[in-house]
Amino acid sequence: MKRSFFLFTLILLALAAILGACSGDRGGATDDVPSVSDNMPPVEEPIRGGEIVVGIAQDLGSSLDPHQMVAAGTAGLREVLFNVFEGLVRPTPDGELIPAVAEDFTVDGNVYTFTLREGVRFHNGEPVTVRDVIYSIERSADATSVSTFVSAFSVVTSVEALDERTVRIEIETPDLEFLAFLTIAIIPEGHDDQARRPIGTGPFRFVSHTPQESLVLERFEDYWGAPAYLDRVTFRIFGSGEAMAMALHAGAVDIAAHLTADMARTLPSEYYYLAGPMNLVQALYLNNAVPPLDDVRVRQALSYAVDVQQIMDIVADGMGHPLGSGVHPGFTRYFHEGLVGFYPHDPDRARELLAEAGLADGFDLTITVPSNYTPHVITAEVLVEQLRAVGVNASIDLVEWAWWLSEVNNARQFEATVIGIAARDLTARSMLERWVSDNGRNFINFDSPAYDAVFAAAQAATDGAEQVRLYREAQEILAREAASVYLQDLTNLVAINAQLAGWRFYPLYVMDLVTVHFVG
Amino acid sequence: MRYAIRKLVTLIVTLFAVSLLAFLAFSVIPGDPAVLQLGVNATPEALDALRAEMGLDRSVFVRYFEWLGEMMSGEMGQSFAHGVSVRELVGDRLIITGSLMGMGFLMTLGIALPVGVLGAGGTAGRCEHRPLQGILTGVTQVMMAVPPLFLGLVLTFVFGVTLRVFTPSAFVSFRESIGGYLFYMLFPALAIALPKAAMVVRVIRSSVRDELRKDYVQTAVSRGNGPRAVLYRHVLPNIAVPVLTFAALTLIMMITDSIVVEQVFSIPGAGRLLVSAIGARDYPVVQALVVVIAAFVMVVHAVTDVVARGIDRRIVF
Repeated sequence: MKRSFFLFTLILLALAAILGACSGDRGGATDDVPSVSDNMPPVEEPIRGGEIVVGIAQDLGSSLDPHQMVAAGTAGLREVLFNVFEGLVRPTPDGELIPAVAEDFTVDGNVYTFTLREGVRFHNGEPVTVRDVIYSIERSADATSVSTFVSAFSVVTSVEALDERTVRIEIETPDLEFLAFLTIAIIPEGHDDQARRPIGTGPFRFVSHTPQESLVLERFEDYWGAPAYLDRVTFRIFGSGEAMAMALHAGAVDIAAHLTADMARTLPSEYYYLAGPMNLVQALYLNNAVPPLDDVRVRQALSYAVDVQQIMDIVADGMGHPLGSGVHPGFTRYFHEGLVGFYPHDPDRARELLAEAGLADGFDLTITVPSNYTPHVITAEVLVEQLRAVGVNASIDLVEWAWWLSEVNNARQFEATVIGIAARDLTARSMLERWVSDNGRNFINFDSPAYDAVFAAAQAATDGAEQVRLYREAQEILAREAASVYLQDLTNLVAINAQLAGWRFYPLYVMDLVTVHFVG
Repeated sequence: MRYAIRKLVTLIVTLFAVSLLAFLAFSVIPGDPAVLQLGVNATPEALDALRAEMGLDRSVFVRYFEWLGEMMSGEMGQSFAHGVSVRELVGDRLIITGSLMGMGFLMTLGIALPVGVLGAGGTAGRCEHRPLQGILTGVTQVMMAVPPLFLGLVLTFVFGVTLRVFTPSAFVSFRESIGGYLFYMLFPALAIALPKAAMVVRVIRSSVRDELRKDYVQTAVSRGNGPRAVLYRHVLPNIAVPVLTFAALTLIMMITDSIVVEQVFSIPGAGRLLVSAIGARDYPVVQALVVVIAAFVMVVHAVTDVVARGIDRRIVF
C-alpha cells in the first residue's frame, strides 16, 4: 500500500521532470543532471534573522518531557528538542563532549565535580542553580517515574551541592562512559509541566505544539553561548514522507531530513541536498535461539550469501557505509573498520556451510519487517533474492510497528527481521550492552559467554585505551559468531533551501539548528 | 414517534456492540501502548509504571465498563499518545473532517445533479446526442475508477506544485482564518467529491433509463406531453428516492475517503488521528472516534429514511 503510493508519486515526479524539461528549457544548455542546484551550501555572509519551516514525517508523540523522550516512535522529537535542552555537557558534531550548562568539570575516579557556568538562564528567565541540576539528575534516576534514563543513572550513589556553583556526583565504581549520560537535560525545579510546556536552557525556546500539525520554536535571546541565527523555526508534521516530498516540490518546506534517494534525486532547484550518516546499524537480525539459526554455521552462511553493496545500490544509489559488526562509523573511537567485509559475498562458501550444517537443501526463513520503514522493506526484498541464490527460501512478513515492538522486540517471536538500531548516547555501551546474554533488550537471544566476559571487562576498564581495545574485541566476537547479518549504516539525505547554510551532521540522531542561517 | 424510539434503541445497542468489539479487538491483536511510547530501550519498571498509569494493568472488561461510565458522564478520558484529553483532541478534528465531508458532499451533489439530469435529458429526448453521451460515459467511468488517494496526488501536483494555486500541506486552521481554511479544503474536498459525483451521475442516468421504459411514461407521452415535461414532471420525482438513498451512501463512504485524503493533504483531521491512534494503540481516542463514526452512519441512515418518506408518502417505516 505504502509503496504503491510512493510509486505513484515517483511517476508524477518523473512526469514533472519531463514536462519541466520540455517547457522551461528555452534558452539554454540541456543538462541531464537532475535539477538539484550544485549541491553545495551557499558560502555568502550569514544573515541574522529569518524564519524557516522544517518538515518532519512523523508524529511527535505525547510528551515533550526531555527525560521521557528516548522512545522508539519519537526519534523526531529527539531531533526537535535537541535545540531546546542542554545537559551539563553536550555532544559536538565530532562526537566529543564539551561543557554546556557546566563551565568546567573534573573527574576523579568515581567522583565528578561540575562547576556551573555563570549567567545560564532557563527560558522562563530564571537562572540555573545547583538545585535545578540536582533535581534534574534525581528525576532521571527515579525508578518510579517513567524516565527512560533510569538504568543509566542507577549507578549514582549521591548528588550534592558543594557550594552555590559546584555539584558533586558520585557513582558506584569508576565508569569511563558515565559522562555521556550527563547530556540529559537540565530543567528547572518546580516546573512540572515539561510534558506540554518544556523549559530548558538551549538556544531555542518552545513556543507551541499542536499535535499532528506543528511545533514552533523561537530564538532564546538570553542564551549563554553563540546565539541562533534564525528568529523562528516551525516544525511541520506530515502524515507521510510522500506528503512531505510534495511540500518540498511546492517550496513549502526549507529543510527536510531522512529523505529517500528517489526523493533527493528529484528535488527542485531551490534546494541542495547533503548526505550524512543515519547513525544506525542496519542488519538482518537473526533469532539465535530458533533452529536452524542457533547453528553458527547457518548464520555465517547467511552472512556469506548477502551482497551488501547490491543492497546499498538498490536502496540508495550506492550511498551508505557497509558494516561488519554492531557499531556504526559515527563512533569514530570504537568503530572497528577492519570488520567491514568480514564475510565477503561468496555464495559457494555459503552453500558449503549450509551443507556442513546438514541443510544442503536449504530451509525456509521468515523475515519480519515493519512496513512503515521503506528502506528496510526494500532491503528485505533484495535479501530474499540473494538468499534464494544459496537455496534459502526466505519470505517477508510485513507487520505494523506496534506489532513489531510487541512480537519481535518484546516477545522475541520471530526468525529474522530487518531493522536499524540507533544509539541513544555517545557510548559504545549503548550499542553493545544489548547483546549481553541476559540483557532484557537482547531480542536476538545472542548467547556468548566470551562476549559477556569481554563486555564486562570493558565496563570495568579504568584506562580509556584498554576499554576501546575491549569494545573492539566485543565487535570481533559479534562478527565471528555472526550474531546477525550486518548490513550498513544508511545514508541520511537532507534537503536544504538554497538560501540556507550551516547544517551540521552529528553522530547521533539529532538536528542542530543553532548554526543554520540565511545568506546574503 | 414509534419510529424515533425504535431508531434510538437501535442506535444505543449498536454503539454498545461496536465499542465493545473495538475494545476486544485491541485486546487480541499485539501491540502495547506503553512499549510504543517508551520504545525499545525502556526498562520493565518504567513500562509497568506507565501501564498502571494508563490503567492497562486491569482486565479488558473492567476497563470497558469504566470507559462506559466515563462516556455516560460525558468524559472521554485522556489520550495515551498525545497527553491531552480526548475531548480536546477530537473536537476540532471532527469539525475539520465533518466540514471536509460536508464540502465533498455538496460538491458531489453540485456536480452530479445538473450533469446527471442534463445527461438524462439527452436520453429522454428522441434525438439522443450520441457523442456527448459517450464522453459522459467515459469520463464517469474514469472518475469512478480513480481512487481519492491518487486524485489527491494529481490535484496537489497540478494545483499545488505546478500552478501553485495553493501551498501543499500549509493547512490553515479555521480558528485562524475561515477563508483560508475553506480555500485549503477546496482541493481535498474535490478529491473526495469527483469519484462520488461520477457514481451519482451513473445512478441518475440508469434510473432515468429504467424509468423511461415503464408504461406510465408511454401514457404520459401519448397524452401529449413533451419529452422534457415527462422527464421533469414524472420521471425525476420517481427516481428521487433511489438517488437520495445512494447519495446518502456516498456520504458514508466519504468517511474512509477522508481518512486517505487527510494523509495526502496533511490535514489534521479525525481520519488522520484515527490512523495514528490505531498505530499507537491509543485506545481512548480510537474508542471515541469509533463511537462517533458509528453514530454518524446511523444518523445518516435515519435522516435518509425521514427525507425519503417526506418525498414519497407511500414509504412506511
